[in-house]
Amino acid sequence: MKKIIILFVLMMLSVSLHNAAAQSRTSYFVRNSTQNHELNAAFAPDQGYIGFPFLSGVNFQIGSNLGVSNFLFPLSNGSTGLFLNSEVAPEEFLSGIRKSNLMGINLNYKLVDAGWYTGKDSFWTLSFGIKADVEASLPGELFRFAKLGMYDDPSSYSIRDMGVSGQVYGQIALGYSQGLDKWVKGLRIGGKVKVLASMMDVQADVSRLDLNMSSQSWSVKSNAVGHILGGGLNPVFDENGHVNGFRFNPSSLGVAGFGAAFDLGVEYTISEGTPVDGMRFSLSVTDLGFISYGKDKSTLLSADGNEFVYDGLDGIGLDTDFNETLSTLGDELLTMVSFSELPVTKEQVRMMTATLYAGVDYSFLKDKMNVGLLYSARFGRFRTENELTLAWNYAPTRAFDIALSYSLLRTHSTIGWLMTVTPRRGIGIFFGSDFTPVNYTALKFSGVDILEGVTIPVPKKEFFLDVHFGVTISLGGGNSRYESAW
Amino acid sequence: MKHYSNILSALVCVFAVLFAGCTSELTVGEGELDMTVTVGGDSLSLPLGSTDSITIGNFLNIDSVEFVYVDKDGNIFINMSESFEEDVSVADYVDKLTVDGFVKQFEEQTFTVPAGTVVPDLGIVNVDFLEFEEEFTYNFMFEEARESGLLSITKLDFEDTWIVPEIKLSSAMPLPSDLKMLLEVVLPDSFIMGQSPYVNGSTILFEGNVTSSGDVDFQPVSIDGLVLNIAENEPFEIEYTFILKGLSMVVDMEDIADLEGSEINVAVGLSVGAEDRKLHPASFYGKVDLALDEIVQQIDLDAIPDYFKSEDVYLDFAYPYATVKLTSNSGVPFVVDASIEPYLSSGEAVQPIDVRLESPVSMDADISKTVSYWLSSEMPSDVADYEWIYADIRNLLLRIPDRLDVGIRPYSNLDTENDHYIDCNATYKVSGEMSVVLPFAFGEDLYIPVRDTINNIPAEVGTAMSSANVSITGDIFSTFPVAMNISGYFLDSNNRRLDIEVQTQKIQAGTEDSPVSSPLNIVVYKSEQAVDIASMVVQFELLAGTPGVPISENAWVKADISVGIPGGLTLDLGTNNK
Repeated sequence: MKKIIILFVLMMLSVSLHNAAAQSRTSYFVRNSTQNHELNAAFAPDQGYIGFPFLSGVNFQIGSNLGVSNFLFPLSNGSTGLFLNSEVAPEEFLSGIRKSNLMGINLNYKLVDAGWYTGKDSFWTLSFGIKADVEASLPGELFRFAKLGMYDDPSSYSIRDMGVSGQVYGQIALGYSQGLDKWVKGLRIGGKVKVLASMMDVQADVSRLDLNMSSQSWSVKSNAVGHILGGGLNPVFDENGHVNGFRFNPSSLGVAGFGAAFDLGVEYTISEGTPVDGMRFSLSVTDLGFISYGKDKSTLLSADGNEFVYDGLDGIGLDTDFNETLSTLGDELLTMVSFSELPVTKEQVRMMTATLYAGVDYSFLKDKMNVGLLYSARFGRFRTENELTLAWNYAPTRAFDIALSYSLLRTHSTIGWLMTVTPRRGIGIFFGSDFTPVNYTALKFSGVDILEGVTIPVPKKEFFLDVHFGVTISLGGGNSRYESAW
Repeated sequence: MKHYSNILSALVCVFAVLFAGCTSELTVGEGELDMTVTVGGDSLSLPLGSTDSITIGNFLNIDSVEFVYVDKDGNIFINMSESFEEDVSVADYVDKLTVDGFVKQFEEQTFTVPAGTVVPDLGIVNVDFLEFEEEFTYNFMFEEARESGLLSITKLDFEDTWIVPEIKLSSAMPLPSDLKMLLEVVLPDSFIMGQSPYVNGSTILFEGNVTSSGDVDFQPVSIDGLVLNIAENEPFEIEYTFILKGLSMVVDMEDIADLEGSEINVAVGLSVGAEDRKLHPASFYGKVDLALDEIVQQIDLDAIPDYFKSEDVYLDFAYPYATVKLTSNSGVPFVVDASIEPYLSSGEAVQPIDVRLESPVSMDADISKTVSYWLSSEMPSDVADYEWIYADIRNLLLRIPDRLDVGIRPYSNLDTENDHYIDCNATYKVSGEMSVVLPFAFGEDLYIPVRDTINNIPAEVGTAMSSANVSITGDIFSTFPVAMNISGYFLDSNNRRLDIEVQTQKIQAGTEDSPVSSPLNIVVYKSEQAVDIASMVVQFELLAGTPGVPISENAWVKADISVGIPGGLTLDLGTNNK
């Protein structure tokens, strides 16, 4: 079982963020979805709804552009070995490592969610939820360092653009979508305002880390910045003012920053009696906003590029406590890449990670089926992620919709799927995943009590776990989109 | 129904896509997932750092052990010292040599005052009683002094000892008021008299005024001593004869007419001694047989580290020596027989060293004198103020014993040409200090393994050594005048030695002014036992050096160390000890 835990940890280490929005892109073109207004504030379902308490919507993603096959290798004796196994040639391992490797975990959990129609085609939404994002960007040079280590005397590495960030915040969102058929037939716009309350925002961004190792000395030259906004995590400094650890301080947990964000969206469906009637164009941007943290809740860190050289400890003697020495050695090596604190002179404002969506879809078979193309650009902290998603939706009945998607442009291609049950009245459900890798490796467990004989397919080249799930209660229609079809 | 068929078709499509892409299989689980990892790289090497400048004192733990010292020049030596002090009691001689004096009263005689001899210039008449002459024999003995060790005595000095005659006159005629009496006392030649105008050689002419009661007031004369010249084995018995004669009277010329022809009674006596009528000895010359208590001291050398005493240690000190200082305020010369015998718990016998030393002589008890001896196998070139005596110290201390048994037996030297001088009132002390000194100047056969234990070896070290050969590389700089070997071995938590091979590294000898660099390259070979490592015994073996070159505290050795694990460190993440 211990090995399984280690294996799981390895898999977790290899996860990366693929969609920090933690919303199902596959749902974007689902026309009766109660969730896609999260992606475009103009979107509205056919009827009002209330989210089932505490199950209104769970969007959970862990993922990486690295997969199991990057870390597990078949060995000559038939067993499976880790990438650091001496039998795994460096070239074999490193050939699967990208220049930039992303990892992350995202959670979007809605405690409360509701949408309802008022007046003439006016749709309101209100939700309260919690979001947690952890991102990491690990350059390939870091894995090269892990695998090759000190390959020669001396050995050098130049690690660029390595970062890790984490953010936990809650939001209350009030949205409004309005059909504008009376002015432009098929036009609908929407907006959403979000009040944000953040508990924590931490980030470390190492732009450059030069490592030189020889039997005479080890040296590090680092350029990095970081911040800790909010409570709960306090840096611990050594006598030189370098961060040599962190201390969790639960007493200081709480709301540390407030902010606001806006979603804006528009959709236009051609319905002019032309051959392309039913074609819909949509454009939106989400999470345009910021969170502000007070000075007393902010810690800024920096590694200023000075070179730190470790050439050993002085004063080693027979009475040296080598356990303490080893600990000191570890501290010194950590200090080599550590941060120093910067003065905080003003409140800290952090922009939200905005995402742009631009889509076009075309429905046919009396709106029972549609296909669409979605472009999204997420302006992340470490990079902008572009993605192109092809989607196919089929709604054989009004209450049921199934969607498939295929995403590309990023470092990998994935297939997504979503099933939505949305009755006019009553309980509905949706579940699906945006990322369903094409290539799998079957992990077959043996000698493990509860998993004996079990084979689990895991993504071969990328590892993902992407879940969208929710239960809603439909309140009755306010829109007659499908009236002609059924 | 059509709708359900459509739904089913859609689901089949979805799951078919999901699992159509399984392209390989990896087996994980017990025995199938190899959790070993190798990290660090082919040339993994970590600069561990620099050691302190380790001096010989650090090696030998000088600060914490007894017997090892550093002199003002920084030179190190072992010093095992013992001292003694004994009182020499001569109080017995005061009693044994104090003899009775005497008061001899002769029979009263009646004389008819004859006509005297007129001395016109002085206006006096000297009247001699020619018929007066008395002889007296006086004897005494002090044989008991032999029991106190007195063998012979040449001269005995007295204190508070006097001789004085006594005369009482009586007559029917009134005696003149200014009458004087004179009396000659002839002493034996052995008597040494004090300074007095009455003394003339061995004769004392006493003169005194006659008081109204008829007593003559004589001034006593001190007796300073006696020349005895009693050789060994002769009896301490003395007999002397005193002669009293020359009794005469001095009378004014105007008074002689009344006295002449009258009868006068004269009672004469002689007194010798102090007020208690005893002759009090102050000092004497002769030979005394004094044997002081034998001193047996054991210098326990438990505090000397074991690495100096192990059976595999072979010390070859170039210039070991011992010093003895004897101090005395006594006029008796003492012989001090000293023995030094190492005791080895192994039972190995070592020939002891016996030396015969002589104490200094002081004729004044208030002044102590010291004589210093230098004991060594070879005569030193420059040891001013010391008297050199041959003693094979070098072979005595090839190993540091568990104990040094030191015997000191002081006794008076009877072989001297001169007499002993004993001040009966003095407090004599004879003291000594013996030091066995082993300067750290090693000879060519030196071999000292010094072992020290490094406790609490981090578990990571054992882990590393269980997975790979570990090399300790770097440079060692030494100013030690002797070469050294560095090696060691490992112990588990129960202090059992582990079978892990550690190569031995030799460090070249240097000189004080120019350290010599030796490359360090110790390889500890991979061993499965390494995971049990709890401590390490580091062994420094001091090897033979240039004989006579001292090892001082100023000599040091220093190392710049890197730890290398060529090929990297292999760990099994699946085992419990990781």
